[in-house]
Amino acid sequence: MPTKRPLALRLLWVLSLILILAALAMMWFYAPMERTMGVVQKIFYFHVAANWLGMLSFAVAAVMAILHLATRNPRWIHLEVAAVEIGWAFSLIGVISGSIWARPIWNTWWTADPRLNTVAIMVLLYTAYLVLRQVMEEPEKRDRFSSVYAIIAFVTVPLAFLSARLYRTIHPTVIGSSSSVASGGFAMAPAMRTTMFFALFAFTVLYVTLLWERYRLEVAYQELAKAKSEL
Amino acid sequence: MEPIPDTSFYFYLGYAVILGGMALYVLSLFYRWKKLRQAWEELDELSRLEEY
Repeated sequence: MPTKRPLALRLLWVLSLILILAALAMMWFYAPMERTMGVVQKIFYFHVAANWLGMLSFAVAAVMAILHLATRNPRWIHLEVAAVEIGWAFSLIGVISGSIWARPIWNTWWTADPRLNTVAIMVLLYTAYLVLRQVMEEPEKRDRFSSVYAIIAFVTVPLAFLSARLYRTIHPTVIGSSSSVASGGFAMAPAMRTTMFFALFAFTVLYVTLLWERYRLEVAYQELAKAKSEL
Repeated sequence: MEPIPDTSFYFYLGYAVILGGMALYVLSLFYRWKKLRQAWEELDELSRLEEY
């Protein structure tokens, strides 16, 4: 039977909730309104944080994949699966929220742009990871294959991150220099910067909570599968 | 000075997707725990029947 949720994890859930609510309050009450885009610019705080969480999670998954291939300890594959799933969910949230922000600013939901395309490829590759794990039946082969896949798929993460800095793109870069054709960029006021970093911190704490919770779930799934096979 | 454009519809839509998506993912985790506990109970029942 699954074990009871540890006290530290329960506290992390409460802390995550408080931090996310505080980040929302900062976005709403503290961060100033941007003049040219209006209130839609405030999507920025959670859009960036969701993408940050997604990319961080894919990086964690790649590290876990290397550890799994090196040691064959099942703990690492459980963490890898948990990290990919969380990263995928938050990257998808980042893509959709970005598209909604783009509609009034670029006058389109989507355009063939290096940043948008590389992020879309990244999300599709990790979608394939999750689908392939579902269809592969032999556990050892599946785990080995998914670890190799997680390492290869990670190539898309720095590519997506750097695409707005290296290529001619209309996607703005708020930290560092933006492309000359970037559209929708804005100078960050100190209160905007503080809100953004607070949202990044809140999402990082949420990530630790989600990873721990999803890891426990993955372990419980494996224990159930083992108990079923022994019956 | 130009007036600030009203983009509130897209703002609310964006946050509905972000917060809704996050809530959906968290709920999916708790739902999967619930299904897992049910599966364990069924397994316990089966093993009891087998012993009997």
